[in-house]
Amino acid sequence: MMCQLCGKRPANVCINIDINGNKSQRFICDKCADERKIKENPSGAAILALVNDIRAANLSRQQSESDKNEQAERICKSCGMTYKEFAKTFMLGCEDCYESFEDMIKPLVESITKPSAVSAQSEKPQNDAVPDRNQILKLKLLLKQCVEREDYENAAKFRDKIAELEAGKHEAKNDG
Amino acid sequence: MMDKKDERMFVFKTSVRFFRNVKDVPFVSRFSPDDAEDINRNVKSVCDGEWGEDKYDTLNINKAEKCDILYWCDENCCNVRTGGTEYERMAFTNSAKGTSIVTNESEHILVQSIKDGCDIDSAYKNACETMNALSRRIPFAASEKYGFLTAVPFCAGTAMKAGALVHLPALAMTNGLGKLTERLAGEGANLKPFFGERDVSFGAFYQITNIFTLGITEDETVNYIKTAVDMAIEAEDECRSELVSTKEREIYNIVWRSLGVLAVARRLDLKEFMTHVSNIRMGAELGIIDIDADFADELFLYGQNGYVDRYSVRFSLENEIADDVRARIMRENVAPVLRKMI
Ligand SMILES: [Zn+2]
Ligand SMILES: [Zn+2]
Repeated sequence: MMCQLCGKRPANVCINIDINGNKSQRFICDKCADERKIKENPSGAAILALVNDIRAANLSRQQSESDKNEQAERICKSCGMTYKEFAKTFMLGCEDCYESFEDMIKPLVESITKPSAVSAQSEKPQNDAVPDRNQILKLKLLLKQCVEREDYENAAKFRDKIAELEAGKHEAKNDG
Repeated sequence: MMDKKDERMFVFKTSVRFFRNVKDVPFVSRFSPDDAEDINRNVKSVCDGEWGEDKYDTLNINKAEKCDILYWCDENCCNVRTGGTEYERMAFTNSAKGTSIVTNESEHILVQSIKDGCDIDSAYKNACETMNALSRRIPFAASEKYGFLTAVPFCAGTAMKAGALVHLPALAMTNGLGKLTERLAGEGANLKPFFGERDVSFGAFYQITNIFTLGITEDETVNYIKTAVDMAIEAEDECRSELVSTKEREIYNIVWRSLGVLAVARRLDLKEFMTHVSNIRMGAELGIIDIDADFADELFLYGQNGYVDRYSVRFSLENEIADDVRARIMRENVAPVLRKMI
């Protein structure tokens, strides 16, 4: 098995993850383990960072394999920015880049969107709707954490609960 | 509920930042030096009108000495590139208001307001005043779908980052940060080391910032950060009480030792310095040593690379290595204080 983090060297260190009692494991190479100082008594933050970074590494490896060719060719007609350059610097070239690279920045945009967002500009938050939205936000983050640690059983529970709450909210809106 | 003075023991600074780009002008990686100059001219005239011509300082980041730029960064808790660019980059700073405008960094315009301690409402109010003045004169890039458009797509939407710089030495000592990080994520806030690398902090200073900029209003963002800061303060406060009641001797020893090192050391690298200044700040906060948090915060600024470099230039110490100069500055400031205490 290769290191789940760098994907370059064989994995020979097993890191035990325990997030709120949910246990799982990650396998990384010596060098990565040394760099992050997580061989002995790692801090909670170090563990969390590791879990997140492995997920990000997976995502970018998957992407780089499947759509590499199509993406590399993409170019913004307004400013000449290429996807290659964007992937290197994470800086867009102009306003139109948001449309030119829309499908590629989608995961980024999702990561900064408050879950269960009600369009902030067009709708004034209603007082009795607020607890609902906060609850959904919390559930979504819990769901995300479950998926991260591959706890699909609990993830399913949260997913159903979110669907339930969101359905309830829509009904309420239609009624009003 | 804690009063403002108590919060000051945990919260070093609070800040609100807005990122904006000028409509129909390519972003920084694609615009021309002329575009950059236009932006600077427009921002300057807003500063003149809003603040008054002699009420603010101008720093030409592109031409200034590296140590002056670093010092500006330390004072303003902000990072800018120190190398020269083909286009002009400026910082307009109104120290009285704690507000500054930086142009042509990663975005055309960054407006930032900083307050000492825990005062996010004032930081937000001041940043908004300046934002409003700018938006009356400069049209900003925005779309219906993504809100305000930023070159770095991680903050499109409100293009607002609210944050607090918090001091969490007790949690850091007891491995309590992982749990707090998770709880803050549930409130839409990020916790990361402010000085240092990856998750390893120099001196237990951490930055709390909002994760979300889309699907959220500015007011909500401020409230999220308030909740997150309260959570961090509560967790750290609890942890400190626990430490003092169970490890009183150890904590006293750590604090006094650090004071001693700063008073006599001949060489201090940034990491070691940060650890000691953090310890004595904690000692001041816990009432173990009789100095106030402001003194600790001054020391903190004096030990940063920018101040050390500037000091070397001013007193012609360029042939001494920076770590020796840092130790010299600390001796000058800390030794007299320590002498009075022992
Ligand atoms: Zn590796
Ligand atoms: Zn473009």
